[in-house]
Amino acid sequence: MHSDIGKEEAMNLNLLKTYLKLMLIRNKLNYLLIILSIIAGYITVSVVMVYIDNVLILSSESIYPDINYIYIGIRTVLIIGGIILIINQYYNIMKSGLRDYCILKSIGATRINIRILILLQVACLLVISIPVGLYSGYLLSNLIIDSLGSFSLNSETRELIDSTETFFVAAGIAFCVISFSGIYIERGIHKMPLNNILSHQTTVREAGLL
Amino acid sequence: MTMIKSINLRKTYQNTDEFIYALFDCNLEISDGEFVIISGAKKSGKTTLLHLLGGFEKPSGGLIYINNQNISKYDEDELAILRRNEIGFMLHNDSLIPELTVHENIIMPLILAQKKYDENYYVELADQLHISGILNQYPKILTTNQLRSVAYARALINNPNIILMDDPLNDLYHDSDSESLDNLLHIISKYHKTLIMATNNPEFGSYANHIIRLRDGVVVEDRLT
Repeated sequence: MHSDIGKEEAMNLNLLKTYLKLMLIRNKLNYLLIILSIIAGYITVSVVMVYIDNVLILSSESIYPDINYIYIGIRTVLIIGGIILIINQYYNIMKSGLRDYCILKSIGATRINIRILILLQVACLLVISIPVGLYSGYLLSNLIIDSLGSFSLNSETRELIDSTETFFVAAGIAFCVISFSGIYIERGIHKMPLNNILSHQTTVREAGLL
Repeated sequence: MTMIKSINLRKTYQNTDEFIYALFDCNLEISDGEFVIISGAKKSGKTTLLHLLGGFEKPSGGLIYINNQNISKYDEDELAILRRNEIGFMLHNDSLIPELTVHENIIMPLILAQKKYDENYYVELADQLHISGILNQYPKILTTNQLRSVAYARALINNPNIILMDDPLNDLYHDSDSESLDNLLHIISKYHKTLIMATNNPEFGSYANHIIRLRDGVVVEDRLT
């Protein structure tokens, strides 16, 4: 009997290629979920800003002099909510990969191997999800705002929504959130006793990821 | 030649405010090429002993020598390199990575070590374990027996001196399981590997030439057959 793997194919397998395959196949649904989260976050923040402009600022500026503070507060809450949503999605991705990291550790993956794998996952997320999610969110939110013809828009808000700076600030926030949560989770994995995973007893809490 | 030696090996776990001894003053000597069975009731410490010998856990006390190297003080990365080069660990059946093909799963230890593999040895392993026809398949479509054979192949691919198996047939035992295990034992004996298996299954007693029995973390029997 002969092996059905060709020699050339077998010899071409390398660490980076295998890691990339692992990351891309495993996370295809997760990438979509993160993209959708970013789109939803972007649209929510933009549309709520327009709504606040109309309901609170334009109509009530004379009645509530401190309305700008409320406005900033609501916007902050929305942004924090969006960040939590992304962290939650990212956390679920890492949780789903925990078992595989432990299998790899058991067959000889060093700390560096695991770190590269996690950072590669972060890089894939950054390269795929953030540009696609933010740009789609930007286009869709503009489309929605333009279709709300009956709403008038504060010129500052219009500028903020249209500005490319907003786009890059949002990308920067998403970048920081995903990078720091990646580093945090990677540190947690190394604290985890391998014995627990091998015995199928590990919970994420035990792993120090919470 | 002595392959593994443990001196006063201990492992304790802390449970709220009290310490529990999972293993107490365990002294063992395992020679090159032996088939060792570690038996004992549940929670007797056999898995703990296996994990300590494989460098998956650090002992709370005592010494472990593998090939005359004291591994008790090794750090995480040194233990990972030891596992990569010296030890093949047979995890449970569901320990394959589902996104990788059977072939990629098997050679993963070599990919991690950045080593080229011996193609003749690889083909021989695949043929002996009857997995030559499924190397391009993904684990999700394989039978339990095939998954087990792939896990055996992965444990053996880096040509380790020591193979550790934790209750390899803990689920239902069929004739086909016996066949895949026979194939594994044939390879192990041909390449003169040391096999250490933690199990409750009395059927393996007839294969082994060294039996260690544990009770409550203490070695109560250590005999060559």
